[in-house]
Amino acid sequence: MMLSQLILTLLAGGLLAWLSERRGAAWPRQVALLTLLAALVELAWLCGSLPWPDGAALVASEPASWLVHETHAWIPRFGIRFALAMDGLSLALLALTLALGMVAVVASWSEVQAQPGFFHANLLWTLAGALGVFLAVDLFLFFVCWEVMLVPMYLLIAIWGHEQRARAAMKFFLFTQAGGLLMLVAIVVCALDYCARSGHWSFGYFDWLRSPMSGAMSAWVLAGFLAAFLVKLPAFPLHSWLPDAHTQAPTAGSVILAGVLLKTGAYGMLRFGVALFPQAAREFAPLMMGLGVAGVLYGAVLAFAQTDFKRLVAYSSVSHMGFVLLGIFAWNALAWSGAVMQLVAHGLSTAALFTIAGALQERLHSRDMRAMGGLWAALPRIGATAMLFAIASLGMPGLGNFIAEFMVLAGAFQVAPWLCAAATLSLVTGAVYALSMLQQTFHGPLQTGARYPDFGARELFAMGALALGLLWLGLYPQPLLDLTAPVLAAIDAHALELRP
Amino acid sequence: MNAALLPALAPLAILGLGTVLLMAQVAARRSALTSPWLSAAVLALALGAAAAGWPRDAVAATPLLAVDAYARLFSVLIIGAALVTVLISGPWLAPLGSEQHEYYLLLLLATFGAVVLVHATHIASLMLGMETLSVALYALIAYPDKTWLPIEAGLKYLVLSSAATAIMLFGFALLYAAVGELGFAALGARLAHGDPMLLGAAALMVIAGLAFKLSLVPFHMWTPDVYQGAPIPIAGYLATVSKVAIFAALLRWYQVSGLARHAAIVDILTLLAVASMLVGNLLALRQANVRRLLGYSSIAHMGYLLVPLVVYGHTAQPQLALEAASCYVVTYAVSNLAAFVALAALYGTGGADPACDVEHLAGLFWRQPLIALLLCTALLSLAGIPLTAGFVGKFYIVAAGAEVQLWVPLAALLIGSAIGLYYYLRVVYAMTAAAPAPQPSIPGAAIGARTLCVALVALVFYLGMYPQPLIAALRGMF
Repeated sequence: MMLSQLILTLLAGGLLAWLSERRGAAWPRQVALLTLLAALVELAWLCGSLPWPDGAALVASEPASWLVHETHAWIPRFGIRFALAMDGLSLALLALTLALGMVAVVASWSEVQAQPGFFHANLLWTLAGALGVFLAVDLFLFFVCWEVMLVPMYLLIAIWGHEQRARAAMKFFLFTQAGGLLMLVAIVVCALDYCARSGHWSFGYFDWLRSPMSGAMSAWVLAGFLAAFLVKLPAFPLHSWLPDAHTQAPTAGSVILAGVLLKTGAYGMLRFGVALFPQAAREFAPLMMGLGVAGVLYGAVLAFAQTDFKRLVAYSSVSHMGFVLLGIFAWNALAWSGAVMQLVAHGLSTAALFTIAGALQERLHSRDMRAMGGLWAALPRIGATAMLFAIASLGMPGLGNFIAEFMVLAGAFQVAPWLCAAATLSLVTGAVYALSMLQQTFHGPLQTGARYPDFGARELFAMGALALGLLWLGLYPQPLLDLTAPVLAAIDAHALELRP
Repeated sequence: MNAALLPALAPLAILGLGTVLLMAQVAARRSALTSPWLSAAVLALALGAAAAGWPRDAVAATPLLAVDAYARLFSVLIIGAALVTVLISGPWLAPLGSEQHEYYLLLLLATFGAVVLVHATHIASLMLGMETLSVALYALIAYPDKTWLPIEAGLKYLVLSSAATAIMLFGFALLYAAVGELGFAALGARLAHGDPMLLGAAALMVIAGLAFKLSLVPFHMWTPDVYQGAPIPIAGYLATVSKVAIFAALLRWYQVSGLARHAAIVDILTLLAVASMLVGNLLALRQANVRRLLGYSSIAHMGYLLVPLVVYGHTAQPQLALEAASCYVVTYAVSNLAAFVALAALYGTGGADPACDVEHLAGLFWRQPLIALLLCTALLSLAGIPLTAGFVGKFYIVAAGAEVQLWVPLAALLIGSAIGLYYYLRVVYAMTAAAPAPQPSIPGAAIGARTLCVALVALVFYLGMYPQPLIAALRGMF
């Protein structure tokens, strides 16, 4: 019951935030913040009350060995159930989602003037969809949540976005939806295959794990799943929606897009792609690792060429998510842990960078770095936080991103040394774009004489929390690794069982 | 005919008697109040009779009509849609003063024809129902005023539809010449022994006629003009009731006569389906007018709807295909009706031709949130976004198509849906835009219209989130 309650909290909170607009423009954001806080407390309380089974006992296809699971009948005609379950991996991503949700609300505290009620409602609904994606263990439900994330995010970009919002929102929706439709067909084919083998319909993840699909069809089905996940991640040739969407979205939208929605693609790949079709996934691995490395380098090079602050951060996301793709398909414990670590670390650092970009845009009404310069003198607090997160993003040891990328590279080296060597180049290119961003924006002579307010206590608190998170991941990553390693080990063990 | 048939035919009897009663009332006293309420009452009564669901078992009422769960479900849908049409027509007719009564008379007549269609088990009843429906529609399309757009639409529909009917009639004659039977079941049994030349010609003619009525490519030319020219309630009625009734009749004929056994028919349907899905969606892309856009999108939807029929031709167990077809009809009708109710609420004043340009919807979300919500819900449902009714229908079709591995029509469906998203979202985007400086004033909807809006939004989401009752009803039919 607890897991669906979590999703319901956000859905109801969204409705409440919308309605509360009548009481005053300040209400919706407070309601949204409280809703997210309540959900976080619920999650913490749930974790506190759990028996915490031994991690080694986790079996991917055994719901009882997961932390929590719940299931209700939904559409018996097709054996579709409203089934949710949580393990360590889901828990880490849930916590990330809720925390970044709060950052998003804080980041757009004063930015959104028009229709604040509907804005916060859409924000919470997108997050509710993301929670559903991280919890669903029925593939039909997974698909529904996948799409539920999409519509409110489309509205966030389309209504509150910047000057090119129509094009960006449309591109975002069409890309993700086209991938989603292919995934829908893949899910249906998989369900039909299960039905043909077992005589009854089921979309249940555990059923599919126990009776896996094999043969030539499974490669096609995996390709359908990957179509959705690679678009969302995004991987190299399918990324073109991302720079537009991230740049044009309002600050909170960018934070959620980069911090949470991109992660659903990686999560889907691990949880569904690799676990359900291990043989086919192994066949795809070289291609996927190649795409990952291509994304790493291509994103970094393009990031360097940008003059738009947000666009630069957006391309750096393409580069960082390339590491995730490389890590997942390098397929060993080290690389997988690194990929998961990268999900969390990239979420925190990019959320912060987008918040800073939003703060600059709100003050200067521009994202053009050529018009900035010397801002450190005018906005020392923003400058200092920007420096911290920029060096986190370039992979400075001591911060989470370094650990993540190091683990991915160390893992990938065992499998594909040359690809790994190529990806390592990004440590140089990453430094180039991150430092040039800092230099163009904050160093040099001050370009503008106007005075702007610096970060206040509210923003500093949010930034401080993100920085602490990154420091914690960088200095003592073991708790996160301990939380997720059993899950990854269970998926790997399941894949091994199926090896011919 | 025996007494047991009376309850079975109650919906038809109520509609027929109601039409006569309305005619008498209009002749006796032309009051602006009584005719809409009387027709609403007749429809509500018929709806109750159809929904009550007795007798439980299927009954053959004469060789022409069958009363069964199938006929009842579609009767409920048709009469419900007709009732909604009556409810939203008031503001459209108000400027006409005392000339508005025959509108309701024609509407009841058309509904009677549509209900006959979904009961039809014989070519004769199919023809009678279709013509009762079409002839009433000719007048309804050109009803409200003497400006040229409705007249053009009515005339276009009249001429083309009559031609289609004539061709279809000739096809039926050839069919009769070849097999000597017109009842669906008997006809199907003897098809294999007929003269192939004669049957081929008959099949082509009948398919052409039906494709015209369903506005399938390449017989679709009339659709956008009629959608644009007809009064909005009638355009909605045409898009839902007429399509539902004709498709339901076709589906029954297809099933009872076993037409899916004939590979040539299935191949032609495949072609029509793929062409409609692609052409309809592509042409809709370029439309600046919401009504034309809905017209082209309905062409595409009719293409989606043919996919289950094609699936039927490739499988020995058509259960899933039949469910998919009927499910899609229901979800399409509900979503489309919702879209037209929203448009009618926006342009409820009638009289002058409301342009319904996408640009005019700018900022609708902030000016008329409820109507915008309804239109947005309807469009998302037509686009097949999860949690709306349209997704359930689309899911069914994908499942049916994937079961027999029918990849070509499925690919067309996916491509079509992706294109469809683009133009539906364009309208949604326009509604979310900031309103242009001089806000075109839109009168607030009345309390009744608001209730209807809320009910339709709720229905679309209910069918989308909890489709099990609908699915159970559909499974009971086959």
